Amino acid sequence: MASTGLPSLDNLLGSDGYPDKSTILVVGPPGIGKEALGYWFTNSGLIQNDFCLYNTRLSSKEVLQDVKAFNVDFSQRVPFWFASQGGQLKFDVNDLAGLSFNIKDILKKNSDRRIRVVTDALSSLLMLNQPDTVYKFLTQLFDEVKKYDSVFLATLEEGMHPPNVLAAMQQLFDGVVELRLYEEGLRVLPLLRIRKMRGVAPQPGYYNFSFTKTGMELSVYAK
Amino acid sequence: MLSSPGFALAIIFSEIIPAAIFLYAAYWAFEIRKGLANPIYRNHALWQGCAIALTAAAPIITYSNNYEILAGIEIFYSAFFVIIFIFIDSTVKIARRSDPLLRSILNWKRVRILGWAGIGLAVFDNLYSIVNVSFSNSLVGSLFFALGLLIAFALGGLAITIGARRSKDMLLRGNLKWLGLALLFAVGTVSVSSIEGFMGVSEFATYYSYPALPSAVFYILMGYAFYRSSRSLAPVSHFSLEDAPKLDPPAP
Repeated sequence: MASTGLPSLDNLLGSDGYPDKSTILVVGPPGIGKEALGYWFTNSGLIQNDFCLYNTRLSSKEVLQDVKAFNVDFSQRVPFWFASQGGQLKFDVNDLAGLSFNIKDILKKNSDRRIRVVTDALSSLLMLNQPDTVYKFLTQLFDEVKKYDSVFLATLEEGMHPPNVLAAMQQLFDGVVELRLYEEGLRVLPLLRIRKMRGVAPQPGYYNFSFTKTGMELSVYAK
Repeated sequence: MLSSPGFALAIIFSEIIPAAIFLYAAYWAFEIRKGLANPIYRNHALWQGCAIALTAAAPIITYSNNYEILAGIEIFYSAFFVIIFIFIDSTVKIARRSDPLLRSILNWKRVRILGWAGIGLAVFDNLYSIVNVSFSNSLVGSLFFALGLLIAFALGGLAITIGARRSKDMLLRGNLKWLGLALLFAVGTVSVSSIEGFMGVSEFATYYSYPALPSAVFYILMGYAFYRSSRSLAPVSHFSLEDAPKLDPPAP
């Protein structure tokens, strides 16, 4: 198992983290904190000396600013940046073939240890390419990812894609973590749900979450 | 002599109801902010709430007949302009983030400096007017004020428009659409007041009697548009029975 980096989420999954050789999708509206799950997951991998690849459509500097806001520190241990600017590899959101080649190449070169791949570029790829093309790209990429001891985590913006595209993406991934905002009277509550996770019993429950200095706090949401 | 029904209706429709709507809109902006985690989005919601709350207070202060409180009014409007521009700045940042190509909007990192310079001019005019009352009525004072605000809000408005067109975030577009409508209703409010002034309706009668009602309609609509804009800051669902967790029955 690859720890999520958040003890409360590891406990919720009941298995100390995401399953090995799995692909995880975190879906939710902009600003709710999907990327934070990626930051903590990467941080956990860096601590355990896993090879951590962070693929982002932003510059590494912008990501590091966001990372600090969640009290994650990438200054001591640094991920491998595949970013639009400031990374060891330059990411071009229009170049699907280059993205595929580079990730596969990195997987091959680091096959001697566990690999964690985090990407926040999935929404951009879906907006700039035909959904079918991205679906095929991901299917082939996941076949490659699962040859190695690796976990692939992607974030997807809710509200920017048609429902059928969201549904297709959720079907493709082994695990789906959903973050949403719910209205209860005059209050707005951020809730998390494990929509599905390979090897984990189905969990219909919703959990109220909040980010703290040490990670994420989860509490059962009962209406 | 003011008629009592007109006075009462003016107070209710042009001050109490709009203030309530504006404050409700600001409340939702602050409440949705609590549910967000990313600092850029949290800031956007925060400054939207602050801008709406200050807009709610603006006519109450403006309607004050006590011009001995000039200093307070000038400081209030200085803060108002600063917060409006901070809100514009935060909106441009999230508009850029929601562009899949992450294009720079008008080279905003540099252009915002011009905008802040404009706000600085307007704020200087306001604050200097406290010590030199005639300055704001002078040509230089008027130029400082008008030019400063024009630079800031023209640049900001243009940047937001470009950002909204490039953004693929339908929610952000909705948020900006309602904000745009709120600004249109603001123009309506000012236009009606100006027409009444042109027709020779006294300022006192406008604020405290039946003549306040036409502009009050626009002001209420402005509040509603702000409310819809606040609710568009993030998608908020209603929890339904189908979503309710199916908890295991308690052990016997």
